[in-house]
Amino acid sequence: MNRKFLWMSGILLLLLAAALFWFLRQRGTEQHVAIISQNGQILRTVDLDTITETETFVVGEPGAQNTIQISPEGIGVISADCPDQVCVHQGLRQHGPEPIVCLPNGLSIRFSATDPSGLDAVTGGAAH
Amino acid sequence: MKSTRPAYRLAMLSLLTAVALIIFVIEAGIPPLTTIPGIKMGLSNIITLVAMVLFGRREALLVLLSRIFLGSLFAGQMMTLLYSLSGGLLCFVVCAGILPVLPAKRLWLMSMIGAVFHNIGQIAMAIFITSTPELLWYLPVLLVSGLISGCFTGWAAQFVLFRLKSGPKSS
Repeated sequence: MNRKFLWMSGILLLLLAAALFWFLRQRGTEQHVAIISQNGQILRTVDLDTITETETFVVGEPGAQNTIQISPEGIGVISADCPDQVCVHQGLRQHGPEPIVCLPNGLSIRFSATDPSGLDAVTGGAAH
Repeated sequence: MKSTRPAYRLAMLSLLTAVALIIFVIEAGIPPLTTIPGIKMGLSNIITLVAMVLFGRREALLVLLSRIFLGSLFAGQMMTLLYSLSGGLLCFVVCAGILPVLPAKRLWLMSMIGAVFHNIGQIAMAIFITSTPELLWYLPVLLVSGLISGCFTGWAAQFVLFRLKSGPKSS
């Protein structure tokens, strides 16, 4: 009886957590600024709403290199020299709470509603 | 299985390390199952668990550390070392704490808890390296995957231990 109650409340708690997670995930579709950073250093921020043509560029040094594509469909990693290729398979995205990451290379692309650098939408170089 | 003969222990621990390394290298060669970073079967933890039960915590730590350092060398990426160390050590500390109060039949439970902490350790390291706290969004999925893979590896370790005890004596 007591055991059953524990199981039931455990499952209920899990379902609640899943629902909360799902609800929170739904937000953040307005986040169209992509922040590309490597090892904690912001390399570039891009307002994806202003992108009209496809652009690709390489970040990192040989051994920890990723090719990033920015296009009207979104931003993503199209090639990487890491063994697992998880970041490549994440595809192109325009928003989302979860960042696109290449953990072996320390690269992350996260999405934000505002441009944290305070610079123009498309800026090159390490601003910080 | 427990023996105090140093040569026997050294040979057995080396064997376990070698097996763990082989499992690690083979698993690293399997393409990732999902596009979520950090999801893994963690099969080499089977060996850590076996070493922990057969020989003790100190010996299991030796096997774990040898596997992590050699495995990172074979993987050719030093970042692997950081992620493996943070996850592996946190998992080990939690498992080592649970071991004394754990019935032998519940090894799978310890493995599940260990796997969850392995994922927590790795995500903490990933947040530290990339300074991207948004990575926490992956945590719920990683916790679920950790529970599943941990249950499987724990069950596999229990199976190995059962066969080692009941199998034909080779010596």
